[in-house]
Amino acid sequence: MPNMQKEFDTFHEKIKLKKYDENKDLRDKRDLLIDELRDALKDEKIPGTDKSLTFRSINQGSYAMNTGIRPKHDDYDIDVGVIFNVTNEEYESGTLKKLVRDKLNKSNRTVKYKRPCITVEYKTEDYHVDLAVYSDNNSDIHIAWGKEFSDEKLWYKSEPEELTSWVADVSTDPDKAAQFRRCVRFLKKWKEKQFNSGGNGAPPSIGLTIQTRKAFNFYDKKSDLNALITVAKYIKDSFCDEYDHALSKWMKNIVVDLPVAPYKNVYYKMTLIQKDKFHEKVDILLEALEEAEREESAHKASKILRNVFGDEFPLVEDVKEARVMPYVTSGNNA
Amino acid sequence: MSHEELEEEIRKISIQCLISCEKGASEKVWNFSLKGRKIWNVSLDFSYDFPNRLPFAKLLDKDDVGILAHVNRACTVCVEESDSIVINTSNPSKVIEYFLEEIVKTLDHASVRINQVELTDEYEGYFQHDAIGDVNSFYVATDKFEIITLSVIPIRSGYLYRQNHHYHFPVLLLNQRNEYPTHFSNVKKAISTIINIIHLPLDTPVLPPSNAEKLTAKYIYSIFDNISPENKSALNEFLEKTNPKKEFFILLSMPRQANERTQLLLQYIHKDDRPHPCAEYSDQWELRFYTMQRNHREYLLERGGAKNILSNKKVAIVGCGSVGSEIAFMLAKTGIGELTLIDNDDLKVDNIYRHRLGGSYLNYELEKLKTSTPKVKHNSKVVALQFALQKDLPYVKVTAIKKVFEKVLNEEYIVNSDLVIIAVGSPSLNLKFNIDLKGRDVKHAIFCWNEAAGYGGHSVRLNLDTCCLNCLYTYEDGYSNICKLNLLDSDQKISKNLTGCAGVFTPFSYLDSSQTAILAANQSVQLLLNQDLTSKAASWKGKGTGSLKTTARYDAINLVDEFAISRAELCKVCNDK
Ligand SMILES: [Zn+2]
Repeated sequence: MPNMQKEFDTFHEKIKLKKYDENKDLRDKRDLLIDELRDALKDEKIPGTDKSLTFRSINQGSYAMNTGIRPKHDDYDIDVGVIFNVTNEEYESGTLKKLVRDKLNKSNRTVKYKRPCITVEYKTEDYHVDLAVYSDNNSDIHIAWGKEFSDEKLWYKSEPEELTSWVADVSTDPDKAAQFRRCVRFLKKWKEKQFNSGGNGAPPSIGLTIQTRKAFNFYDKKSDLNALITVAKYIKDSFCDEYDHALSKWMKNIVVDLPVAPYKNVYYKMTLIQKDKFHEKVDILLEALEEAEREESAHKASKILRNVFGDEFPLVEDVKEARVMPYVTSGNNA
Repeated sequence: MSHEELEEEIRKISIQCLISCEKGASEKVWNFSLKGRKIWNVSLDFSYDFPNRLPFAKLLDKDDVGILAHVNRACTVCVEESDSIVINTSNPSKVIEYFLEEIVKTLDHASVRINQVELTDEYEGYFQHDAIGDVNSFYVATDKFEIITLSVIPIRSGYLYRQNHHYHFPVLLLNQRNEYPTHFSNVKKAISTIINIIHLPLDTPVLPPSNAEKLTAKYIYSIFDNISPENKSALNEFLEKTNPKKEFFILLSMPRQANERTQLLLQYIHKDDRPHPCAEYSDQWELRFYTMQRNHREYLLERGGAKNILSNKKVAIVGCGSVGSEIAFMLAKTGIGELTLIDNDDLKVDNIYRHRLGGSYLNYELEKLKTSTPKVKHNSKVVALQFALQKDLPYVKVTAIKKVFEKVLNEEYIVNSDLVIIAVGSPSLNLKFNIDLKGRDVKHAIFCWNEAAGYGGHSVRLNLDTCCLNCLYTYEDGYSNICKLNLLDSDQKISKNLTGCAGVFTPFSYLDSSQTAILAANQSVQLLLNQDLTSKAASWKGKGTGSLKTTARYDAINLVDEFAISRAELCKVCNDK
């Protein structure tokens, strides 16, 4: 079996997105929007009181967890949370979320009211900001949840900072933690390549991150490939059988709860058919990784891994002992 | 090799993966059972000049055809992708052994499910043998549903016609706006009856039908659903307006890993009117299909080894004689997008043994004038070249300027070019242009010319911000009429004339000009690709056909020589600026 670690390292360098601290540009863009929101709310009072409405912001998502990959079409995704100094009684979740939306709604951008957040898309910029709205609720943080025109609008208990630290606390060994983050990034590239470009039916990244974190009891310092095999096996084994009466056949289902509040299934949005497809793709992934591991030629192994992760994974040149071969290809032409 | 010799070679084979082998369908066909990730049964056909050519391999397990990459619908296993094979023919059994091992590796690789993407990537090739033919296309298929146009000719003979199937043969696919390079080849003649058809882009790639089955209307109907919601509503809108017909064309496409999409042109025919095949499934359709001959820019440039990134570059060529015309063709074939050609001369029969263009562009016909003496009207070199280039290559824009050189230096097409090439041949004109270009803030220029009588040629690429042509005429004690590049001593009797003073010419041949043009074209491409922006003088040296006296440099240099040019301290032109 060839040692592909050099290729995995090169691949990782190509795909990884640097953390806020390493990426001033995105940090500035985040701060710009946060400052703008703070400014727009400076005269706002909590209804029925003379208390000013204020907030603190937190990083969340892959930036905070240091597991981001560079987006395919330069559409950078900035995840930020704003925690307001309000209780759940002082504001209806939808009212506060709408206030944030209205304050940010300007002509150079599109502001969308989504179930978990407010999304700010810029017409001429290569990034968007997902802004989650929270109530501090006397240090019992809740997220403003639900779509604008749906009845399901509520304060939902949430522990965004706890989630970030749960992921970060994967290991005290920096090498192990780094390999964990590499594996999460590799799985995100796998997802990008293997699921529809529209992202329909793809498992959410947070699901892959949490499962990788859970699988990371064992690792192989020298081989990301072996570590990935462990993770893929773990994910595959976390599926269970479920009979689908409509289709009259056995399908694969998966339930993975968030390790923090609200402890709900991270794959809640996926249909059973999508989850069954997800299982099939994990199975194909595992077969490919094991085959790459078994493969004698680094060239062939790299070809398999490029089919898994896309052509940012380096192709290893085919080295044959040309002189002793019964036939060789020359590249000559006329 | 006789089949007895072949059998002897095959009996010598001893490799681990070989389970068994036996004679197959003919004397030169052998079947092998091989052990890989599973047991592979393949046949090798040695009847095509083995061992000078590798045998043909076929997979005998039909269940696997349509699932495995690198096995087409005819069950042929594609082991070596390249034609450029060198075979050690002295040991045929070793060749067979190695070939069998490669087959196992290929099939093993193909059987890893993640590698099925290699099969969907080669979907067109998988069905190639079943296609009725190739259809030329200038259409660039994206992931968008579109109504596009297809030029067709009616078929009025054959079995289907007699069965009352009135159908057409597809000739040329164009986009909605019917755009194509109008001057290119005889494309115009391919446009006659135009019909509207749909481009149906599948969202994800699909596998071919299993068990090596053909493309059927049923299979196609089962994959139609694989389209995005936006495309689906566009399709439904189209279907509502579409009446039943006897014939429908559909351009089906699906994504590949690389940019180009897989495309097949499907044709449905029936003797009676039927609803559109996307609207309703019917097993009554006769389904045929055609593969694409892609004609769009990105594909053709890449296919021909040209560079797409050169397609936004502009080059002006001043002087379109022997050297300049050759450079124009060479640069056009590298994929450069825009050429401006400047020359005031007409193309005459005198030129044809050394100009890029020949008799096709001469004119012997008298112009019918009512008032004055009839005249034979000559084609100008630039207009003839423009015509020739645009007829030969679809994506080069050529502007022809028939003017004397001195009058154009201020013009926008010179100043806005990425590179100006001066191929006028005359040293004194060169030196004058050098001064003018430097004054006009032109940054990159190439001067090129031949030495007389096959002794050599030069191409001088200049970054005019740092030095100039005059620097090559400036020595430690100042300017001299003698260029540092010269291969022939000055002031020899070089010019010839065959018919008196008006017919004076310098002897040089087409081959000389081509060699000089190669130097200039290479220097141009290096510059335009940003590989080398420096000032360099390149020369080639030839044996020469006369008894002319050569310079010390002629003796000192190799057949091709290149050196970096630096500013001459006393260069008047550089210092004046
Ligand atoms: Zn100079």
